Amino acid sequence: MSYIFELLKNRTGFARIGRVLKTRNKEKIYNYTPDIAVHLNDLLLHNFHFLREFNDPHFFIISHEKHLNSCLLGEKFEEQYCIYTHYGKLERFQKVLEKKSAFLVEKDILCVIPFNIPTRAPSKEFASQAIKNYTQRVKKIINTYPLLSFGITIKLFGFSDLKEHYISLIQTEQRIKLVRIEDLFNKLRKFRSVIASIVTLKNKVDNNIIFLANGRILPEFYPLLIYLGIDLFDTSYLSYISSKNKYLTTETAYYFDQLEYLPCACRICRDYLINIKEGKIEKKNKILFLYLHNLIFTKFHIQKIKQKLKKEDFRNYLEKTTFHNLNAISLLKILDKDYSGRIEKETPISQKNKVLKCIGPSSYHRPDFEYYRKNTIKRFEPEPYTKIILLFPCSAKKPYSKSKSHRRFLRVLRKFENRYAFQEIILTSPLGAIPRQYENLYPVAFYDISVTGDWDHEEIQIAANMLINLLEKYDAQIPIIGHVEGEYKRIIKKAEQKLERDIEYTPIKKRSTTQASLNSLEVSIKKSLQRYQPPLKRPTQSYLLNEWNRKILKILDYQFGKGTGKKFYQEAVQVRINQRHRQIHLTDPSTHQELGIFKRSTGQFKISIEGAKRLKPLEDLQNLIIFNGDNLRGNTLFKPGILDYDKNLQPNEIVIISNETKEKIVGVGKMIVGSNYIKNTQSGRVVKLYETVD
Amino acid sequence: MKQSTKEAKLKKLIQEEIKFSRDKFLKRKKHPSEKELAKPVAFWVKEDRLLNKQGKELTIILKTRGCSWALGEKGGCSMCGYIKDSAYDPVKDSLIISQFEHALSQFRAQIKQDSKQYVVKIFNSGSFFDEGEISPEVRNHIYGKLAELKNIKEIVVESRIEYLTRDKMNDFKEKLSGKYLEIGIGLETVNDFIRNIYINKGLQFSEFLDKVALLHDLDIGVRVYLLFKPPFFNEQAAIDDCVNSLNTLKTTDINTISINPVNIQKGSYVEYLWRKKIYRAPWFYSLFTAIQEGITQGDLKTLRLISDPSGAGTKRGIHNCQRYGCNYEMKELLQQFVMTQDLKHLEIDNAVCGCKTEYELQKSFTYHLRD
Repeated sequence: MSYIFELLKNRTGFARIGRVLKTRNKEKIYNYTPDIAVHLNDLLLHNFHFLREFNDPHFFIISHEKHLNSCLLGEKFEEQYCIYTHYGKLERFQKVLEKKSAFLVEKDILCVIPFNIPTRAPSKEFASQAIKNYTQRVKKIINTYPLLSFGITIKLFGFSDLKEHYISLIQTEQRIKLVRIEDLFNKLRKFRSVIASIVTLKNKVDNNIIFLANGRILPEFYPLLIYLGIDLFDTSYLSYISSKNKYLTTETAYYFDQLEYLPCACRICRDYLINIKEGKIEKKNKILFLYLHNLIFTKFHIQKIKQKLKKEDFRNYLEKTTFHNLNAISLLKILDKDYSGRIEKETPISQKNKVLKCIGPSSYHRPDFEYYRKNTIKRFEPEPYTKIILLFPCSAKKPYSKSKSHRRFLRVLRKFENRYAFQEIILTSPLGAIPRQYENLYPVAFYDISVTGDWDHEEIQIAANMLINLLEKYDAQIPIIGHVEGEYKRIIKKAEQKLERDIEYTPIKKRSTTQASLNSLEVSIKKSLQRYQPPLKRPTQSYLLNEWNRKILKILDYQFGKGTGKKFYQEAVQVRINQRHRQIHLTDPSTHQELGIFKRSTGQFKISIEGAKRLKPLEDLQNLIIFNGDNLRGNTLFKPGILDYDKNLQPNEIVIISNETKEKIVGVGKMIVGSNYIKNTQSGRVVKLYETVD
Repeated sequence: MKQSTKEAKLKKLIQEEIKFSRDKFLKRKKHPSEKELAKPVAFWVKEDRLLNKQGKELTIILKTRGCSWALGEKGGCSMCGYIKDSAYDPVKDSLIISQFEHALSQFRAQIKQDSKQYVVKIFNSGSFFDEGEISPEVRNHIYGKLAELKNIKEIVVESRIEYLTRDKMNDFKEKLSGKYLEIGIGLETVNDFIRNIYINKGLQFSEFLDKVALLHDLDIGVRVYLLFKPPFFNEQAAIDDCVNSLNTLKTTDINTISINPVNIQKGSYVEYLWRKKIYRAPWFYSLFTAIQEGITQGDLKTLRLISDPSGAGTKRGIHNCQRYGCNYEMKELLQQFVMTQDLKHLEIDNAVCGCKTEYELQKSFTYHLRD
């Protein structure tokens, strides 16, 4: 058995969709994560409600020796993924392993080595000794049973720097497939140390290890923990709160007796709990029913999360759920502020057909926005023939040029022959400032925000910073015209102060889109047109006058690094727009071979092999993976075939794969994972190839 | 070698913790007056299991200086707060004798006349054979008085093993010949690591076995105390440890095993943990499971298994839910088991109380917070 967990898709943050493999009679069964792991006990086994609700594949934790029998696991639970652990002492666990090891191998059961004693540590030194003891014994156990796969328990006793003991253990033992985080999430109040620990773990251990979270976690925290990279959730705390008479809802847990109405329609609520509330049946089994309700509720909750993770913008859902708890809000804030660089590296640079709803200050620093801002400042280069910079307000409809207001602005600009000499910059919140060439990119064409005309301090600060950074790239003499009103003016004023430049404002009558205002825009442009002479009078090649060519030249820079666009456009390019599929095809006019496609659904330019050839020499290309060989087969590139890779690759990034000498391009594809994954793991899928050399 | 230094380090850490909470308690403690010292801490008569039949017990708890281990540098055991029953300063011989007389005089006539046989238990919250607590003169006095009463068939005292020398044992056996003698030794668990680190008992299992051999030689019975759910343990671990201890002790020459579930005593380290809400006294269900898993009916033919939990049913003692009836019933069941030594009394189904479900659910959450 070489692997157990397989990563399928990365989502924003450390969130990921994966699958866990189980072999039954040489047949493969997959269980998908994130999911909950239910503790199997007699209460559940004796209850047919439960069995009916959990018919589809799920994860189960077996803790009792008597449940490790082929009768039970062979019939009812043959499709389910089972994990064995023990609540008590390690010695007892070892005895069971001794007795049942052959059975555990046969049924493909993962054994999580427990660490229950001591339950607490009075001091740090005590804790560190206890952990050392544990890790020694874990090594012994793993070496005794070469055929089993193991999981280990990480218990930090509240001292987060003790994690190093575990990390070295996980790095040396290849057969550790699961990490059970026992008490890290108990105190979310200490959100800084929680984040520090989990990020270090994610950085240093193999990314094909399953993370199982235990501790005092209510389902309301699941989205946040998934964002932190947790794959499975232990339900033991749910059983504990059930025994304390608590009833779970989407927001939080309530005492059952204090609830006047039951906000749930699960089988248990409908048939039993409501009757207990009304006094129709006796209260004796209340706790059992509460437990079943809580389990069913949690199952539905995780299914909802899975749906959001798969089909919607997960970050938006996450932000909404954090509002239930203040610690969760703080945690997300710190994560965005202090770990933005780290989180960005794990976040896909594009998502397909998703609306990114910004619901407030929590959305301003989402990782994909941060990536856009940093990357734009780093990679955007002024066109050498720019004569005037025009500043416009944003629009609700995306891309901007499709909106009513921008269509009007563009109507004015089209009156001028030399439209290429205008650099339009659109001011917006929360992305900041957007050059017109980037308007189809992800996330520019996908975000949405509630607009009231009022901007808060932070939004203005972000936009002003971005604008300053963009304007600084230009010659100080270049005239800048702002066709904006209201709050947008405050942004520009801020930039004006910082840059010590005069920015001309067009006189606006009523709104920026009225005919009078547009006329004044035209007049202003005419006046300023001859004030500045750029280094280049006009584009050297005629095909660069095409609007899409102009955009894609900059998009290439954005995706592959400065200068790539120029290399690509040294020869002629023909543009064909496919409205039906919302794609833009680039072809070589002489050979009619396709050079690449810009897909509006993902906001990304997919370069073809023919197009990639134009980027030679490959030495200074950023998105490059060196493949071990000259021929790629199949549609996926796996880790063992990779010789070298760029250290800043992110999921969903377009990469060019070359042979060892960097002379031949063997394929192009989209990253499935990020660089950190390639660094840490020995196996697994890395690139989804969309074109290879035959 | 490396392992032992590591353990010494851990031991020191725990000892510091224990000493800290004990000193805090002892600072506030008042020294008892002479009048108080003339009476024992407590004494009572009730039904009990004798070696192989039912009988009655007379228990006398004497007030002496206090356990040398608890008063010493090492801080004492983590679950023990019996030092609060002690005088802390040496108590005069005459006062201890008057304590003993005070208790015995009230029941002397009853014992003489009763048809049932008696077991007398003399405890002093420390070691009976420690000269610092009870001098040889006092011991002689007690031996003499007990030897007079023919209806007393068994005598039980307690001691740490370092005071069990051959001379003292010979003396004990001679003076009380004809009676079944038993010495209670707090072994707590057969696992040295747990005993010496988590409990801080300061006792090795091998030393204990040596003393058992000595006592077996002299035909003195051994009563082993096992601690149920030491600090830093959860319910399942307590069961595992107890089962392990019972399985090991079955193979030795032990006559009586007494399982003592932890009760939270004032001034002990366990109380500190309990106040921080990170320790809960064990459940009755755990105790019953441990006994059922650890012992068979066949074993009970040669072995006596008893358990008389102090503080049972209260928040500080072994308890189930907060319902009085539930705890009362459990106590009764345990009592019946001890009296009859029949394991069938310990089989409980869900019908007894709804809190069985609660217990099952809480067990999987291995932290065990206080309720």
